[in-house]
Amino acid sequence: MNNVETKEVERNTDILAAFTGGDSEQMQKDIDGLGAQGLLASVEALAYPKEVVQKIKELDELLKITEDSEKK
Amino acid sequence: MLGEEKNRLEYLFQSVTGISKEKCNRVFEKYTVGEVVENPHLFEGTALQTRKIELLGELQTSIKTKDPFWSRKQICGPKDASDYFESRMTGLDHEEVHMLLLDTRHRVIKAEVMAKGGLASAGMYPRELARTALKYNASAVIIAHNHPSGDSKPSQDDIASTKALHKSFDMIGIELVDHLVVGSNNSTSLKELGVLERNEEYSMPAKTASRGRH
Repeated sequence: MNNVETKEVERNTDILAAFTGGDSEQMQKDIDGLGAQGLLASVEALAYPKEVVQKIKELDELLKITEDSEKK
Repeated sequence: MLGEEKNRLEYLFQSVTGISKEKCNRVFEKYTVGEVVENPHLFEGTALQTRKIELLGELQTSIKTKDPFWSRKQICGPKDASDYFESRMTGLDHEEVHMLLLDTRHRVIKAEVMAKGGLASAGMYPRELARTALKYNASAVIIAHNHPSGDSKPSQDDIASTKALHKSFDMIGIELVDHLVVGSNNSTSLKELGVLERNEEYSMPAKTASRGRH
């Protein structure tokens, strides 16, 4: 992973942690491996507390609907 | 956007940002959530609220354009494709058509939602699919649609449209790598079923696609 990508992972980690209350260290590891999209998509299979999973699912749904509605 | 979807989106925005419902309601009488995420100043909120909305937009842009996972992910076989499509399409209550645009080494250039339908069907128009593939200079594509019924078994129409799409893409020099039908907890690869020529491997040895979600 190059420097730009590392910074992107760190930035996405900060944003996701701020919105969902998830553990930054764990999130950074997951985003390193899966990408932010991969984390959002597979959060139920990852070891996050229930309330964090709920927030991540809401965030994922929000981003998806917003993106889809831009195309209409 | 349907009223129900609009309400859901506004609820999600409010829940994720933690901004008060009253403030959100006032703003969303004038603007959509998409407009606000794109132009946070429209919200006319406090500095903290504006910052939160900016961060949402930043995350969305990053995921769409720079996410290091999908932006360079090589799709090596039906398992990779089904992982992607199942994560985006499982559980939808209406039919959608998605397309992964790939380069010559089957690395993802872009993912697009090509059509949305009602409860039963979404249009799969070769011209539109081809136009998008050409626009992004894709060498290969993988298409998927879901069955809201949950059954991933391809219909006769699915098989016929896959063969037609294969011909259409072939004529413009783009490889239709696979067509997946996504069900409630699994997906079926039409390549694995032999609808697309079996000797057209993904860029690496194919793995089994028809299986439960993991």
